[in-house]
Amino acid sequence: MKDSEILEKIAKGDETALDYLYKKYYRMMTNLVLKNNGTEEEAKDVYQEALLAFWQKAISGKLVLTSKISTFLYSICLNQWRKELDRKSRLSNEEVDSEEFQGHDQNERYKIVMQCISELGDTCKRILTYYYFDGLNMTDIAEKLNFANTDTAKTKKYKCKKKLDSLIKARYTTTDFFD
Amino acid sequence: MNPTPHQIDSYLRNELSSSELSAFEAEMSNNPELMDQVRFEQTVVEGISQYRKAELKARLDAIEIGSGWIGIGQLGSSALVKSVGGVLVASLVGVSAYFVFTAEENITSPETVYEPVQITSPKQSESYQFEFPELSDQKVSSVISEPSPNVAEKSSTTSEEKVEALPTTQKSVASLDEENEFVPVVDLPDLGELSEEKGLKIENANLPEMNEMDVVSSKGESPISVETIQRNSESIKYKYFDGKLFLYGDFKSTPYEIIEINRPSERKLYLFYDQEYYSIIVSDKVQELSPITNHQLLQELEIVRNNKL
Repeated sequence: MKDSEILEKIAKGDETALDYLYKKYYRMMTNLVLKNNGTEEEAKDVYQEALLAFWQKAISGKLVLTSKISTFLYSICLNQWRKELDRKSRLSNEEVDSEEFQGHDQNERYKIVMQCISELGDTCKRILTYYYFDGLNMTDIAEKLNFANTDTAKTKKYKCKKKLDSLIKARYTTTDFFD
Repeated sequence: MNPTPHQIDSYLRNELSSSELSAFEAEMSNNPELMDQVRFEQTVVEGISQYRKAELKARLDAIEIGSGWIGIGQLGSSALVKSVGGVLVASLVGVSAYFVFTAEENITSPETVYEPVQITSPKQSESYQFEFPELSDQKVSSVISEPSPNVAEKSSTTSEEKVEALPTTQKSVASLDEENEFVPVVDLPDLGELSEEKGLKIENANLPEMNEMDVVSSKGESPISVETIQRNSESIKYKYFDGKLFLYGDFKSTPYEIIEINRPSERKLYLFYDQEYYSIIVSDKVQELSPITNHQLLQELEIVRNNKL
């Protein structure tokens, strides 16, 4: 597949393009980490994060690539791994501070949200994740999920979001949530 | 003004224009309720994102990555197979075209000429055209056929019989030869581009380039065979003889580990014994081992040993 074809597929939210890229550059990208004191697991993690960041950027259609996809991915991996090494060295210097501690609370909240999402129906999961993570617009979502039209998608998204909010709030009152 | 849910959404998706954004933020700083609401929404959106990420990662994890080294891993899946296939097909075109044309030149009676076979499979021609844009339509669809030994025989015997026709025949064969040889050569740039990709370079990257080191063969090299000879002395000695490593030392109380680092160009051997690393240089004389002191090398060996790469 040519780069332009891959980008076209991604813009439509076609996940097979993601699979294709993942496989194609797996060794190239993970080697970057492996050769710089990273483990196989870390290498995979960095590459997956980088690929998903690329996916989010590319799906919006706003991404203007001036290089090959591989070059672009490589530079994201490079930055991610540098950040990770940096974080590690700070950790080893025992500078674990309140930043980490606050992160813990925040992570708990994300867990609650994720738990509530998993309780939603499949359509709601699709709509909300496509909309909030992938950044697909309502027209694309309607097409992907075979809705009659964009308005149906909008209505459904509204209802799903309401449902999710109420699930979260039922579990924790707003004040608890932020304390 | 009280922002609508839609506006909050737009804010979270970074879709507000700069003027809308500053208005929104001004409103937020004056309106603690809105601030709370936005923070709530932010958490929800982040939670949704994490959910989706986990989902996509699970999808990626399920993808089987060809094990083995980079060369096969990367080339094998796509380009190399096609390139080799392409070269084969191209040569087939060349070779068979050679037979077709020589046969046509030599054999003058038309009824003895077999039916030429046309490549009609659209799938095939499509994929090869994609991989090798240099192969023009004309070349791909040019007449080819299975090179049958019969034909070759026929053409050689007929050319023997028609010795007087030889000069002209030779000439045409020679010119055809030149043309045919062109085809396989054309395929090479594709491979070149691939090897370039493998060695991708980023400026400012404070990292070693990808080079032949990537080609770590996981098979082929058999692990080195080791024989230990019990000695009760403190120091350990070794000898490398006839492809076998002999270790002299006290290995009853403390086990040893051999670390092999295989590269296409060289093979390095290290010994780990009693918290010390030793470098083994291939030599057929009995040598005493002294611990490695190079800090960086030690660190690398530590990583290799712990990860069992």
